[in-house]
Amino acid sequence: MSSIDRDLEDPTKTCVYIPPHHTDERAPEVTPYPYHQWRDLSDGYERRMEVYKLSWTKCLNRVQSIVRNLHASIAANVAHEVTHAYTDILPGLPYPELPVIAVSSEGGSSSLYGLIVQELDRVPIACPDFRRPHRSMSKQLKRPQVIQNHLYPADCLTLTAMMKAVVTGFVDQDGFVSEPVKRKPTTSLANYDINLLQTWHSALGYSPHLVIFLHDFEQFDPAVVQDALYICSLHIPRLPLVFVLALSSPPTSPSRPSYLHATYPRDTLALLRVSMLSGPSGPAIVQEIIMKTFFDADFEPDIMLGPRVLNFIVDFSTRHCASVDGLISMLQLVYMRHFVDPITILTHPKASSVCSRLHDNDARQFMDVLQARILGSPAAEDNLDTDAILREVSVAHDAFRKKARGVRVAFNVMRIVKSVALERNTDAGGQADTADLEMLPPVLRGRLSKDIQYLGKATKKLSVQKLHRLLPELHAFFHNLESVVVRREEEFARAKIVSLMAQLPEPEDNPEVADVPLERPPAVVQIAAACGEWLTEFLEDHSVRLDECVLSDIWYTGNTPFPSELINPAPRPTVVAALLHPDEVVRAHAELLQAHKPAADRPSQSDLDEDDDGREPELWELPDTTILFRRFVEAGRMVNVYDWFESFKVVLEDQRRQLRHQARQRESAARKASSAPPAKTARRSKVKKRAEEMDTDEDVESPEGLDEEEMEQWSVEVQARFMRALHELDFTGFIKHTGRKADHVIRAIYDVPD
Amino acid sequence: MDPSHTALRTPGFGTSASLLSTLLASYPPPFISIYDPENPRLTASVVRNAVTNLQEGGSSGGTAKIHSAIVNAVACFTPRLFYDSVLNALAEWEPSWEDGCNNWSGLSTMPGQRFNENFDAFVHGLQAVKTYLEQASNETPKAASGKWKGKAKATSTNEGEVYRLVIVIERAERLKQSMPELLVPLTRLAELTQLDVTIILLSDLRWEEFRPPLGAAPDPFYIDIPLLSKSVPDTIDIVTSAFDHAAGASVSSSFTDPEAYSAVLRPLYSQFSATLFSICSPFIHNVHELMYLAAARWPGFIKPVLDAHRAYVQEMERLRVDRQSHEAEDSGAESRDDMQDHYEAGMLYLPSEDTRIRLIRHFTPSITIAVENLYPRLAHAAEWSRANMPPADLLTLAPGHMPGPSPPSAGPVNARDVRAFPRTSKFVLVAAFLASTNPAKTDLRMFGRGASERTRRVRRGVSPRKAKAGTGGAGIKIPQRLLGPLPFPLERLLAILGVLLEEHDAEVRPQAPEFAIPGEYTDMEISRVSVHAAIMELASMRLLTRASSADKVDATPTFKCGISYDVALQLARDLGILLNDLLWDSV
Repeated sequence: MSSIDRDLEDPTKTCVYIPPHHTDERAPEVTPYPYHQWRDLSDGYERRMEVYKLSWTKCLNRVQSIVRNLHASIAANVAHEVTHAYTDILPGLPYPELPVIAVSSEGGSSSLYGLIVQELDRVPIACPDFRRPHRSMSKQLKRPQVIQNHLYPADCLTLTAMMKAVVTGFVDQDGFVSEPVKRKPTTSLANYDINLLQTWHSALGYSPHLVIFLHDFEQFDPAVVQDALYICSLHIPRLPLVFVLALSSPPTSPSRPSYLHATYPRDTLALLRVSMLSGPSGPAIVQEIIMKTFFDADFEPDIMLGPRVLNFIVDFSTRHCASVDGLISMLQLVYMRHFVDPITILTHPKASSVCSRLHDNDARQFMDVLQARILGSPAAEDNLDTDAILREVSVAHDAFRKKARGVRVAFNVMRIVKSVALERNTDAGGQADTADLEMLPPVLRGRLSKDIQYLGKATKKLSVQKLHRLLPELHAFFHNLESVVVRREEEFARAKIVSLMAQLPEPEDNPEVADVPLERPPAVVQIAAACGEWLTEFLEDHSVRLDECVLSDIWYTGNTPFPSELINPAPRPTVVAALLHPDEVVRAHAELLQAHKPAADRPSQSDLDEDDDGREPELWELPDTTILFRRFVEAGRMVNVYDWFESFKVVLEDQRRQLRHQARQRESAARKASSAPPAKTARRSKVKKRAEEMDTDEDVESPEGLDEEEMEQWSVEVQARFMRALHELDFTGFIKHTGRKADHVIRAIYDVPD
Repeated sequence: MDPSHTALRTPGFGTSASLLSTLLASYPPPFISIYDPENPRLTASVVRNAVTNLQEGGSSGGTAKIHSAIVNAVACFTPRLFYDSVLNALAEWEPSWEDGCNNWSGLSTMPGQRFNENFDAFVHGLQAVKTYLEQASNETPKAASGKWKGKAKATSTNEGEVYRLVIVIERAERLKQSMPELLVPLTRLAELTQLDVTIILLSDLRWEEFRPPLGAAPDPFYIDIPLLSKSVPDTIDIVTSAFDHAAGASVSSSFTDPEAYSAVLRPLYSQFSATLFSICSPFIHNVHELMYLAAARWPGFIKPVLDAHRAYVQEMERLRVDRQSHEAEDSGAESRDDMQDHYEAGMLYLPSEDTRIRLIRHFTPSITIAVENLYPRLAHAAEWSRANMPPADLLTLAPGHMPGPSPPSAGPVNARDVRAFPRTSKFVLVAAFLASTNPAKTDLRMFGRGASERTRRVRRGVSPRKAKAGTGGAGIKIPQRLLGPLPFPLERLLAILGVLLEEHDAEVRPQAPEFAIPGEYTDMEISRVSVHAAIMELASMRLLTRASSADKVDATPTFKCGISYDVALQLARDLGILLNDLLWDSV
């Protein structure tokens, strides 16, 4: 502190840095979930993270393979377009067109472009060219059919930079031309001259396609790209250039099929042959991934999503952003959140490392809790040993998995029946994209008996034609199940369907008549009724609530809410709220810290409530920044800094007076009691500490009785504190400086809730 | 550069081309400006042909030995590129990779010479080229060059030979932007180099519009290319000339029948071109565009003819087999005649006048659709051509049963649309449209709630569209919707978004019991990261146009709306917003 004092005294210094009070604000060292958490193992966190990693990798791999399948056709299309760009052209065109492939995909674009690059690399190698045999023999040269060059907006700020990137991106790649030739910077072709590329291309000895990727195409300067495209179009087809544009915007209207059409002039478009490909995106892709990851009969994820999480994902993807990357982050957050619970260490109860660890002595407490849960009452008397408990957990796990499989099968059967029996039109606009997804939460909550009854009734009324569609589809579903376990479990259902199919009479030839239910032959009516009954029974058997299983919270996120603040926070209101009510933030933080302290170290509840009488703290009790901010909220559009300072000073005077008063009171109380000092709590606010400091600093005098020197010191202190608080608000972006009016600043926010 | 579909005898360019050739071959002015507003690309290829023809012809005994460089002002965007391209072309020098891509560096006596440093060096370079060319021709004297003797003695050391350098600059209007400092010296190149140099600027702008100020450049010799659209037969001839070039290419293309361009059909193609021209000429003057349309439509147009022909050939083949089986029974002169006919039937023939008229009548409506889709390049020709193929065996159908023109299809159907956007983005777009269209001072009346709610929308239907008599129309206020979007600050967008969300979204969003005060939930929603992310994403898609610079961090960003009224209306309908009620100038 002395150095600051010295600096403050020094009239030559124009600027002094006053560091924040370290002593006040040092937070206790906290690991995310301290090991003393009473029902956790001592190394529970690390072990859970291992399990998490395992489970998450399994889920992520599944998601990625789904995405890859979805994107594969586009990537193959791009590769086809690239390889045929110069061979398959419409005859009779007035001039050759520059092939451009505009790939638009909103979400998960990185994986799509990765796939396209892979696909292009896989294009078969050009057959060796015999025009230059000596070269091929001397050194093995690369001979790909497609050579790629990736450009990013930052490389292409000017035309020269862009052309340089275009040319050197190819020319400087190794391994295509046997001898790298040294070019002189002055007398050779310039490195942004497309003729250099031409020379290089003819030196290759064969004619590979040169593919230029423009990533984040929307961020390129249209004026620059326009000229670059023009220059390139002058050199085709001698230089077989192909452009691939990575767009992130969808077409907005039929008259603007892509961003390219919206932004570039007709002149430029006339030079190009734009093929537009767009990747799957939007809520449909989210639905596809969720369905195939968590509700596919052939895949068992380690963790099953609960209805609240699903609700959030559906809402977020229809409301804010439906992208693959976003979905993956959300799923990962769900997994991380799930593995906070100590009990999730048993996600794989048969894993040997976990078993051996649980045999240790210090796991006793954990096992006791577990045992209590298994036996149903905390005061159970039978004392199971660890192996028995683990066996019980395994049994519970198997039961849970069986039920989850049942739910998945039932859900898929429902989808099939719905699509056939109710003829649901799947492409009826955007809403249908997530229809299946929205059906999921009720399924998991077990609120589906009405729907099941309805489906059963609908099935009973089906015509013979519909039955001929429905039964084979169901049969195909059961027949194509890959998982052996599920097949075995659903053996009866399959047998039932086969027998129904065998009994079903052939449909009549005139469908108009057969469509009328009244005229169904009795055999069909009987079959349909049997089918409907069986279906109702089957679905009711299989739709169970997963959270009714024993220990389901190990494998099921249940009703845990999604930590939405992490994915979609509101930073400004949060900062404003923290500034207006710092005490609440401090309290919440303290409570969080308390929650993670071991029970023994925890202060008693009365300690916590000690002076928590729920009253609003007085203005003088608040930190400087908050005082300043309160005054700022009351001001108009422009704030006069001097007035602001004056009002701040008034509050500080009050604070000083109050602190002295308190200190005097405490002193007298101490003198009276002269007993033990009051217990220190973690909730001691800044203000109180400051009071103590001041106590020691200054003599106990009457407030008005300051001498001149002290008055001066005080005013300097007030000024310094004002400046610091002001700068804090400035850094946080609440004030703007006006260049025109002296001593005034402009408010940057207005609607501050009080 | 592009395959020259146009020879020197390109119809419609005859006069200009021969004028240019004559000039260049005899006494060319040092500076020529060629102006063609309609078909600059075609003109460029005509000029290129004229110059190359002279260059080749000149060496075999023409008037003067012409060496030319044809450069493009867009491609030569720096002086250095320009110097390199011109000198390499004049010296007919091809840089090779093995030599390190060296530019032409003058005579072998002075290696490593650099001519691309500045204009001065360039002038030296031109002189060096001249010397080089002379030396080169001295080393390989040609017997034929002795034919022409006379006027050139003053400029040429080699007796009887003039070395004339011609520099053609296409899209010369770009010189003014990219290299304004070169424009004046280029026009005075002959003076500066003391050589026989002609510079030809080719542009679709008049020289007056990009000439340097203060009269620094001399006046050029003007050649104005006559408007091609005024001469119908020439245009049709040029369009038809594409037929001959396509004939070779059609064999390897999957987009068209190999026989679509067989020589027999050329008269039909010319008739087709004439129809095309008569439909498109009010809108399109560029010949290349007409050729583009023709290329897209022809494969579909000719398909019925080819189908009919094939069916006929098959039928005849079948008959022939039948006949052969009966041949043993009655062979004679008649059957041999029939065979002769069948043999001829195997060849494609021109359809009858009646069929041609049927075809043209059937395809005329589709040409308009082609113009609508292809001229703005909503689809490319190959794709459109494939999507709009007529059904098989069209000609066998009775005229009344011919299907109408296929519905306009602009390329593949796009499942993704602005309507597939997330809900927040739709709200943001509607809010942006309102912010861009309504004047800022009316916001309180349009969106304000509470006590002043009744005063809202008072103004509907009373907008003063009609000018007062005697004011000459000055009082007419054009609605902002027609004037284009106004910029608005981000805060205003968020405020309007808040109103829209509160009124149209509050019921459907997930419950949040922690927000008790009315409007608090919405306030929280509009300050969430995802709303700002949506705005930035829309800005990157140019559906919101950023009006302020993106570099200024501390200034409030301003945007403009990038969607049209129709799109906004559609989005508003999806969201259940009555857009017209919220517009100050309602429609």
